[in-house]
This record gives sequence, structure tokens and C-alpha cells, in this order.
Amino acid sequence: MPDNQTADVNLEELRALIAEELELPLEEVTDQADLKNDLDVDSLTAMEVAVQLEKKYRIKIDEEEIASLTTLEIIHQLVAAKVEKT
Amino acid sequence: MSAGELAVAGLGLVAPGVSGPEEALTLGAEAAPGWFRAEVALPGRGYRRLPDACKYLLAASRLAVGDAGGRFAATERNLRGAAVAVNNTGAALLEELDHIIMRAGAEEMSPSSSPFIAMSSFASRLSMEHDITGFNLTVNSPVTAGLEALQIAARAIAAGRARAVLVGAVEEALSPAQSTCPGSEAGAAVLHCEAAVGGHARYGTCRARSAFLDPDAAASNVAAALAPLVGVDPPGRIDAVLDDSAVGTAAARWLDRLTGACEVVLVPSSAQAGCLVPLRRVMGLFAQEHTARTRRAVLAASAQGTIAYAELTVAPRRATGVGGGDVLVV
Repeated sequence: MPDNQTADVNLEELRALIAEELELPLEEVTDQADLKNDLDVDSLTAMEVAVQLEKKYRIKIDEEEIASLTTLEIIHQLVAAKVEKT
Repeated sequence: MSAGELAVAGLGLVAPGVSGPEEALTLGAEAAPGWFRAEVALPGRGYRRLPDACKYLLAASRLAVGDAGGRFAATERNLRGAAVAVNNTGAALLEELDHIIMRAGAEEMSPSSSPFIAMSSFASRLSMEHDITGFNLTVNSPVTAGLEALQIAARAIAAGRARAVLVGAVEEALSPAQSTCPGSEAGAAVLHCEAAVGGHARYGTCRARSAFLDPDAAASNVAAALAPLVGVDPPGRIDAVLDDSAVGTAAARWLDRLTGACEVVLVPSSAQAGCLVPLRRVMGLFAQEHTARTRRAVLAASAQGTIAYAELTVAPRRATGVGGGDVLVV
């Protein structure tokens, strides 16, 4: 995805938000770490992440999209695309 | 020992102003902010967003299971059970969630705390924590639920439905808007219970019975309700958790007739009391040290007419404290 599509969403701020929600040190939330398989995130925590993303970025994440929130990189792309549309 | 009797193998208490089961008989202190340190009691991930009452319950259960020396984990998961008493436990949380819904909408509710709208979620989360698949039950009877949870656990064990049961009571302080008098409780007490026969009666054994006393006919019916609970041979001491309702007053008067036969310790209860104090009394009596087997009891009654009675036989223990106390087999 081109840089301009993610320009409004700071990756490091997003990493900090997710690390906070997952109760993990920042360094464990790498761009490619798989939330479910690498970071032991269950479905309830994934929903909690989605709610916090909605609050911070004033976006709407549909229930069926939650399953696609697999890595920080993918979340960044999804959030940035939604922010761009608002 | 017989069917309906439980062996108590472990105790866990989390409450303001007390450090453990040996202080369980002290009257409940008000829950000052910061009294419970979740990061110490529940280290690790996955607890932060749980309601405080759930954290108290999980923390107390960890203490009870640890106190019993790993016996719970050694029990097959389908033979593990939980019976959890709750009265005001979720009231303040429900009010908070109501405010969120009214102020910002239901979509702002935390996915981690919103399941606790259902009061059975506290016992469910306890079951997840300890991999309990036998059964979990939530008991709501006002005031008496903790003692009734003991009765339910004994019945389940006698029926072969479980071999080890965590019996707990948990309460959270009411919000200022909900509270009409001082004395709402906070904290959790959990007892690790097993079958009296073949179980580890480290602290002793207990059996519980319950009854109903019609508040409108409390004075005239009290003997018929209480006499079968207490029996003809009362223990050396009965701790009675009673309020000043018609039921509480009638029960206190009936207990007066036992003066001389046993010591009756009246534990004043408020109109908004929860179910924690009666189970705390059970725990505190079990935590006392005796050189010989000692009989004790706890009676609790609510203004609504629920009455429960737990009869304890406290095992003699060496004076080395609850955490490291050995059992003197007698």
C-alpha cells in the first residue's frame, strides 16, 4: 500500500496502542507478529483491540473485519484506509 | 463423616484490611481506593479489563488452590466444580455500563467487562481460570448464598458429580448512588472443598443446611425453622450473621435460648449486606487453631427469609499459621 494511504496513522502510536491492549512490551509487537499465533491473542482481546481502534481513530470496524486483524502491518493498512475515507 | 459433608483443604481470602483467613473474623473494613493490588495478586496477562469483583474472586481462588497444595490441579477437570455466591457483586458495574450506554452508546462498552452483565459470568470466568468442566453454579440468595454454596458443593460431591469444588463468595461495594447505608461488602472468600470421606480435611469438615422463615410470621415460626438446622446438640460456638429485620430479630431471640449451652456470637449485618460475611465467618473459624477437634457453626439469615446454617468440625492444627500449618491427624 502506498505511503500516502497510511500517512495519517502513525505506526508507532498504533504499535503502542496495541501493545497496551495486549499487555505486552512494545518490542514484542513487531510489524509481522501474528496476533493469534505469536502473541496469544484470543477473540475477546481482538474485539477489545477493535473497540480501542474505533475510539482512537473514530472509525467503524465491522465484526467480520475483526478476524482479519492479524498483524500490526495489516491493522495499520486497514485503519489508515478507514481514516482516509472519513 | 457422611454424604453431605465436605472436607476443607484450602482457604483463600481477599478483603480490605485483612491479610488472610486467620483475620477473616475481623469485621469488614470499608474498601478504600487501592486496597486491592491486582498486579500483585494476579500477575500476567488477561486480567486488567476484568471487573474488580472478578479479580477478587480469581485472586482468592488462587490462594485457596495454592493453600491446598495443588490438589485441585491433580483432580480430573471433569470432576472439578465451582459454586459461587454473589449478591451485590455486579451492581456497581451494571450502573457503570448503563451510564456508558446512555452517554456514548452500547458500542462503547468494553467487550471484556460487558459479559458480566450476567451474574453467572463470575463463576464462568473462575471455571476458565482453573479448567473446571464438571459444573459451575451461581447462587444468589440474599445473605445466605455463601453457605448455600457449601450445601450445593456437598450435594454435588455426594452425587459423584465432582471430586473437588471451589466454594466462593464475592462482593463488590455498591456505588454511592446505590448505597443507602454503610456496610456494603467487598472482597472474595474461596474454600477448596473435597469429599469428607477420602478427601483432605486439612482444616476440618463442614455440612450446611438451609430453610425459609416467612418474614410475616417470623416470631411464630422461628423455632420450626431453626430447630432442625441447629439440632439437639449445638456446637460450642455459633456465629450468627443477622440484621434487625423481623427474621433477624426472631432468629436472635431464638438463639438466646441456647445461652449456657453454647456461645452465640452475633455479627451485625446491614440491610444491604451481601453474602460474603457468612462465608468469611466459616473461613475464620476454620483458620483458628485448636489442639483438639472443635465444633463450630455459622448461621445467616436475610430479611427476605432465607436462612442457612453451616456446621463445622475444625481439625486440630499446629500453631504454625494458615499458610504452612500442618495437620495433626486425630
